[in-house]
Amino acid sequence: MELRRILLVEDNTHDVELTLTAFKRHNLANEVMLARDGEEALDLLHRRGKFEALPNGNPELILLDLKMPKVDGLEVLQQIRADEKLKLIPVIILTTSREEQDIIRSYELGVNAYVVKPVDFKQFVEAVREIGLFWAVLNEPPPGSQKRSK
Amino acid sequence: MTAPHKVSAQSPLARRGLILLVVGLGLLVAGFMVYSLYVGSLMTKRYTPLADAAVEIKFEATIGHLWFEEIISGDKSKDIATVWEHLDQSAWYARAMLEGGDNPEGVFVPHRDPALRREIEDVQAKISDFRAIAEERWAAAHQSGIGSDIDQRFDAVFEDFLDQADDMETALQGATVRVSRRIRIVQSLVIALFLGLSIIIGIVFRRYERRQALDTVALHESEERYRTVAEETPVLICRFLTGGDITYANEACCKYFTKTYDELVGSSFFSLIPEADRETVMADIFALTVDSPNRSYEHQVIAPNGEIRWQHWINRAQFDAQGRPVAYQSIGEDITKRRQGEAERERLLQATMNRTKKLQCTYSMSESVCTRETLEEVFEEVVALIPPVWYYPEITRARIRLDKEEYVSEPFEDTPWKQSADLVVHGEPRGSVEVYLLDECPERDEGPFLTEERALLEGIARILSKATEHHEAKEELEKHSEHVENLVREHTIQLDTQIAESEKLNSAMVNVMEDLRASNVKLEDAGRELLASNKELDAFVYSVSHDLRAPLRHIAGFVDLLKESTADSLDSTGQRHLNIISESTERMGYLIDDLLAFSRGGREELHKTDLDLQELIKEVVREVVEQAKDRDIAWDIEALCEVHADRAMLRQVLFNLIDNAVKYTRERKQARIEIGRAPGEENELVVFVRDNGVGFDMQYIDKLFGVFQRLHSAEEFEGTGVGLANVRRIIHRHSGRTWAEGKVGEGATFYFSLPCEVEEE
Repeated sequence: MELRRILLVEDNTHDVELTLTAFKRHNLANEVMLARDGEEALDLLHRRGKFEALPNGNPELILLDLKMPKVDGLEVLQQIRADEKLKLIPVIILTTSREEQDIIRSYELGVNAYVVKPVDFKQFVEAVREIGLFWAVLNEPPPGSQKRSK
Repeated sequence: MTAPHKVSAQSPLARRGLILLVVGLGLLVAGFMVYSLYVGSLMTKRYTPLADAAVEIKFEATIGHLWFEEIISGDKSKDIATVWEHLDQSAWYARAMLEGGDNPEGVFVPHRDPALRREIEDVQAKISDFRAIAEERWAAAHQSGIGSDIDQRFDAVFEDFLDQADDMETALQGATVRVSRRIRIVQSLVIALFLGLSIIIGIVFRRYERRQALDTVALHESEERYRTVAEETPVLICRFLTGGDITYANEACCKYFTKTYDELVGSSFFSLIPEADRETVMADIFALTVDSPNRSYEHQVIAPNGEIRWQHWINRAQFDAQGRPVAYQSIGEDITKRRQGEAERERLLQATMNRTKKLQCTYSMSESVCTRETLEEVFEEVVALIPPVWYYPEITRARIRLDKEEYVSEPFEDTPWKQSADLVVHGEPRGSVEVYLLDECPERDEGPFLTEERALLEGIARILSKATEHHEAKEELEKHSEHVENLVREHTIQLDTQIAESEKLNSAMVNVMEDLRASNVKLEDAGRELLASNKELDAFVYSVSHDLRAPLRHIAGFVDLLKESTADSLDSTGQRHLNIISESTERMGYLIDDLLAFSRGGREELHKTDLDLQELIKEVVREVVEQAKDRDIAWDIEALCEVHADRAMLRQVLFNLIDNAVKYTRERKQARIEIGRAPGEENELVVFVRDNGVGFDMQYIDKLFGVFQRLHSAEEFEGTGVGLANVRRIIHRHSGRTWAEGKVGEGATFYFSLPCEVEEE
């Protein structure tokens, strides 16, 4: 099976742990990079600061939380879509919020999918599996993405 | 006519000057030519003797030489003195050529050519050399005796002399040629100069001629113009000399004096002046000086046809260089019409002034009538207004009589010179207006007064009559109006009392209204506050529910992980506890989701559309049935109309009600659920959902629609107690009502209403 890179943007450590656990269950954990807030995510994508040494190429999928300190998810999304190099990357909002305004705004900004994290862990694991299966395996990423096979 | 004369006198003078100039120049050039010819002949005269002299020098010397030889040879017939004489003669010619001199053959003028002079000087030297050698030989021969030969050297000296003389002759010819060439050049130059001057003079003369021709034409035109003007003008123009003899008279002048031109010219100008004015006019004319050369006067004349006419004259004198008058020009104009116009204007001005005075009088009178309160005041003013308007204001007085009253500006005097007009009030003569003169004055149009004055007096009387009528009517009216005013005043007092009373009532009403308005304002404020706090509450609920979900998810997630990792090691009690935690978190998740939905129902804007209620119900039923496939439910759904509502929200309402109905009929083998329309108030649609489920006790009806209010335990029927609260809230937001009926064990019916009218939002 061919595996690709995933960028997880999430500030809450518990959520990070749960999400990574879910990925692990489906053997996708090795493909996940982590950014702890919006600013770090943008630094990573633009190879700024501590990410300067990172090799070129875009992740094939970004999982984005909405409520984050400093730069929140919607703003990260907006900047990604405004950038010539980044705008094609598929972005999935993975959040607790079911708020309609958030959903509308996200789609307006060009998100590819909006997933509300289920409370039930089994359901959450299932959701992560489906996301991984679809976006990281089935989907053909835009040109210029960093590929990595396992 | 002086100016044109000057022009014509000027031109021949200039012409003469020009001719003199040309002749002078011609003479000058001719003189030059004669002079150069003279010089030429002089030259010839001068050079002929010189040429002759050159020949003579050789001839005399040759003769002397020949004879000296013969004498030496022994010829006794010749005297040696003659030899010396010839030699001297030859030397004389040479000196004459150099220094001048004369002899019977001509006058010698010395030549200035330096080359020639040097040759001549050489010739002179050679002659003296030859004479010296001849004298030397003669002395030698005298000693040795006559008959000896002439030696070689003697001949050589003579030859030398001859050669030199020839050279000199050649030089002379050259000099002569040079001089005569110079003369020819000078002559040619003079001729060229003459030709050039002739051409220039010719051009200048031609130009001058042309300009003069133009001047002549202009002069003719000017004269023609003057003549035309003078002849065709109606103004009389006449010129005469100091003695009065007329030298020119134009056609108008001839006509005016009814004489022919020939008769007038030569006759005396002064005899034409009417006798009465003659002395004055003559004195005037002779008084004219260079400083004031003209004077005008006007006089009346009796024309030959007997008409009296006014004539205006301007006399102008012309003076010679010494300031003595030489001639006069007299210009006359008939100004009878102007005079008549002036007189007419004067008359009209007078008439206008009279009219103005009268107009002023009538105006003042009208003003007085209009503004004065009483008749007495009016009459007193009018009496004073009349005299100034009459022709002799100083002696004119007026009097007005009405009934027994009399108005005068000064005590009345009875005089024979008076006029009067009656004051007629309502057809009855009541008095009169009189104007009288204190003194006799010249007879006018009618008696001592002008027709106009009579008319004016009649007018004044008429105005005063009308004013009297008017004032009397006004007095009458005032009497009546006083009575009416009293009546009105009484009524007004009554009315005022009534008005005061109603005003009291009114102000009471106003107070009540004020109170009402104040409480309204308070209510509105309260409403606004309520709305605000509601919104805040909603926001709070949303935030809390949202923030609660995250930790809840973490609990659920980690408990699950814990369960997995301890499945083998934990005892059954521990396992059960973990399960309880899992279930509790699950339940809390539902609670929060419901709360979020409830809060959303309160916060989100309504997006109303026209929608098919029946279609929506069927959609919800399908969804609910999907989750309860094992159930046996009899559905009874009535046909329903379209409504105007927010689709998503109304769907939530229907879902909650139908889901409840399905839930609470769980224990029935045969569940029955009816959905239909119930009778309601006008303009509203009432929808009910009836089931044959567990029902409820009507005493708890108040709690039914409250948030988190439940009539059953979670064990009996799962649920959060938010569903009906949300139904009520959504329906309220659509301006509808919700209520319910039920009985324990017999089922429940839930109603909601929606306004029928399509609302515009």
